[in-house]
Amino acid sequence: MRNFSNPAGSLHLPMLAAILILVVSGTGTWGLLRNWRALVETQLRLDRCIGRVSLEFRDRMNRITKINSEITGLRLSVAAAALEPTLIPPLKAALQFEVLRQEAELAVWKLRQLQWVSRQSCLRKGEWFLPLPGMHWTRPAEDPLGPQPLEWNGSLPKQFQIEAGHDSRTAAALVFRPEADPMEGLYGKTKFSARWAIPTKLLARSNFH
Amino acid sequence: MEGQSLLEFSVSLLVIVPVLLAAAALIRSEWARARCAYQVFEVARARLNSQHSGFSLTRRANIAITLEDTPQELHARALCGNISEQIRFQKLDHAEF
Repeated sequence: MRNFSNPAGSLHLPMLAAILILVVSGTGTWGLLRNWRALVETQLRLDRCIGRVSLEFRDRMNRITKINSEITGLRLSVAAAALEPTLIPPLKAALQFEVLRQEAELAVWKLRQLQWVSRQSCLRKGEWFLPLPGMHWTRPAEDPLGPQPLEWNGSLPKQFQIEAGHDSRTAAALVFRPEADPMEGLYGKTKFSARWAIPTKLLARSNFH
Repeated sequence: MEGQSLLEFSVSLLVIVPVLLAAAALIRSEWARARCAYQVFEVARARLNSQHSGFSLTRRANIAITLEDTPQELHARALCGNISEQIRFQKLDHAEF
């Protein structure tokens, strides 16, 4: 057995204790800093993901409503062209083109919804999410003036929530219609905007509201 | 022999104590910096989320955080001891991803 009263190596014991204290406290601090950094990275990744999807939804909704007003304008032009029938075929071709643009918007969004559910977009395995809002637009039957603008099934919601999370970290955004500005006319009434929102998970377990 | 041990012990303490104190100060300052950055981030982000609602932030941080809110971005600043932290968040309509 080693004799601890032997003066040889007396320097080593305090040194060892000091090194141990340094290693333990250093490792603890490093682990905590790493954990905080990981939380921030996860949050930023979720924010980017939700932000990108929300802005895409906002832009698609705005494009669809804008094309709707263009279709309405073209249909009025077709009606007015009854006096000059040679103008009708190009106007109807333009109308068809606008309809195709709208259908493409709807199809791409359906694809995004599928990618979202199968986590092929920006979400990772094990992350939870709210399903992406559906675009419940339908087109009434064509009449003599040509294809009609899309109509929302029921009343158009004032806001759509997009949300996802990873453990305790969540990100949420609202795509909403601000209060109508009468100066902006019909298009202004349906123009969507986006903002960050309180995740529903947080709202559910708190009394913030 | 006894005197030799005491001398070695004293010499080692003379080396170790300052090293330990310096390391403790370093770890403490890193801890304060990380904690400050984390709290500023959390409070600013919560504020960004809670616009147009009554979401309370006061319980979230025990440091004084100054928030500047413009239509384009939210700017949060805090002074934790001699450490200054600031973070800018873009509002969603103005964000680039």
